[in-house]
Amino acid sequence: MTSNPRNIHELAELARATAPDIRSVENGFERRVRRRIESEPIALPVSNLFSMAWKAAPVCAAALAAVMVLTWLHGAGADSATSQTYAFLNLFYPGY
Amino acid sequence: MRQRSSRTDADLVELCKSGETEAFEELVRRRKREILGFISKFCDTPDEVDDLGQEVFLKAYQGLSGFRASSSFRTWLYRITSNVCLDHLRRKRREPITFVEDVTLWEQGEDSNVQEQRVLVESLLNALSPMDRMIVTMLHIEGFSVQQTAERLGVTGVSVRVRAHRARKRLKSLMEERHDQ
Repeated sequence: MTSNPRNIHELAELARATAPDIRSVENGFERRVRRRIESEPIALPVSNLFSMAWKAAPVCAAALAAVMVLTWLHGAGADSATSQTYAFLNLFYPGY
Repeated sequence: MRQRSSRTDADLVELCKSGETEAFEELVRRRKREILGFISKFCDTPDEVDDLGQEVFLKAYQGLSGFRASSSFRTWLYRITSNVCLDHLRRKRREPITFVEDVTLWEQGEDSNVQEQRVLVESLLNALSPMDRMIVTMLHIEGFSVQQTAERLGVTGVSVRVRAHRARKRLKSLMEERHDQ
């Protein structure tokens, strides 16, 4: 065995030769993994949905704000909710 | 069980996705030796190897539904393993180094010469950044090709070559310093 490596190949050889014995870790490893999996909280689809909704919230808010501004610009001067609604519809169906 | 062992990793992954947890245990049984062996290159004690190994397989289990067969299960598992090991190395860097004492914790009956040489290897590799150390380990100690290393780390082959060159240069100067002393 190389005692004092002089290049990368000798260092790699030394690393392989002195690799620790992991048999003690291998014993019962599957069982410990199973226990760990069972003890971890399960990520439910509902929580994923919530997480997606949370991430999408700023985009939705920005889009809504843009539509509101466009509606206001399009129907500037409209003073009732009904007029605002027509203005909004006019954005997508001109001449409504 | 005999039937299960003749199944490929891809078959077992599909079984896992359909809710057969025993198939995952078979995957763990198949891959534990190489994964734990790989992890041990970055750990000081068997407990650390066990803990990181569990973390790797837990992440694999949790991410299995998102696994696409664009790469093999083994390559995908190595990617998880290398990420877990990189995080571990980065954490270790922030903590005070006590590896000289810890390395002796591997085996009580182990030859002290082997332990000393392990400390030497550790001190040289520890001088590299976590990513450079990972690349040197994959390329030179594990014997993966540049392409395999790149796939397992999720980086380009050029990046692997550049980092490996830089790491070899650094190691060479460190080894020369040791010889001159």
